[in-house]
Amino acid sequence: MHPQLELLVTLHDLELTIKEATEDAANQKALGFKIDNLEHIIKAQADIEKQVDHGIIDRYRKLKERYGRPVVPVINSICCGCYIRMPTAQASDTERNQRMSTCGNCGRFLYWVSE
Amino acid sequence: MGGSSVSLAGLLKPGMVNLGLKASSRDGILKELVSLAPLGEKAQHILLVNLRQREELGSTGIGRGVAIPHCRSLMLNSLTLIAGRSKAGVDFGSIDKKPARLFLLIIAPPHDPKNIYLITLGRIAQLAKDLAPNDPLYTADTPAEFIARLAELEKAL
Repeated sequence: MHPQLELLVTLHDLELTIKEATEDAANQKALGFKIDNLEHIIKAQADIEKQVDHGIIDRYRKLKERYGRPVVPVINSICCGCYIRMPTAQASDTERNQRMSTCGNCGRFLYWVSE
Repeated sequence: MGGSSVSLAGLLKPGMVNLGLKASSRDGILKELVSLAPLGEKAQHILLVNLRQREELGSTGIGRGVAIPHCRSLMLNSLTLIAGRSKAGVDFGSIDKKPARLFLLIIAPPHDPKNIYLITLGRIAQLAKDLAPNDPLYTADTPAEFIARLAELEKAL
């Protein structure tokens, strides 16, 4: 996997955990889970952000603001952000996650789940 | 899909059950569990990073010897349940400060319009809270027995 893509998907997953911990905290606590160290995970998020190239993190933030989820999986050649089918050449690219790629329609960063 | 139609036993495949976890640390247990996920090494690593961070946020050890590590991740495109059991038990920072012996790991993709993840998470937590210390889940000899017992417990929910 491209190192920058690895950072983006790690960041993306971490942000999902933070979102859940903040928006669904009452439910999580009611189920018996602890949520008592949000600072730690926010610091981890910041540490990962610092490792991402400026141009990429800027684009990530803009996409996040616009769509909520700036990185989306590609499943069966479909961008799971806008549900457009990838052009054949791009979808059959054997390198796929070895390079940074974005959806030609919505612009989101793409991650091929099947890797 | 409604809450009643989320079948934990249906989600859990025999290959996703490890009844002899060997690790003696929280992170080691998470690594053993994640190794059962149908993912490449890199994807497993990313998943592990997120699960560890979730535990740093606050333990998912809900007491009575049960921990339910969980997160959403881009790494998987469907809801995935993995189960593990440690004979000796591991300090998981659980609410009751007792070692965790039974682990039910749940991972969901970000895209989950019917919110099956939270429904399933709630169902597992509910089941675990009523679990007796001598429940057959703690003694099942094979993954098939474990899954069959899980199905029985679900019927009683």
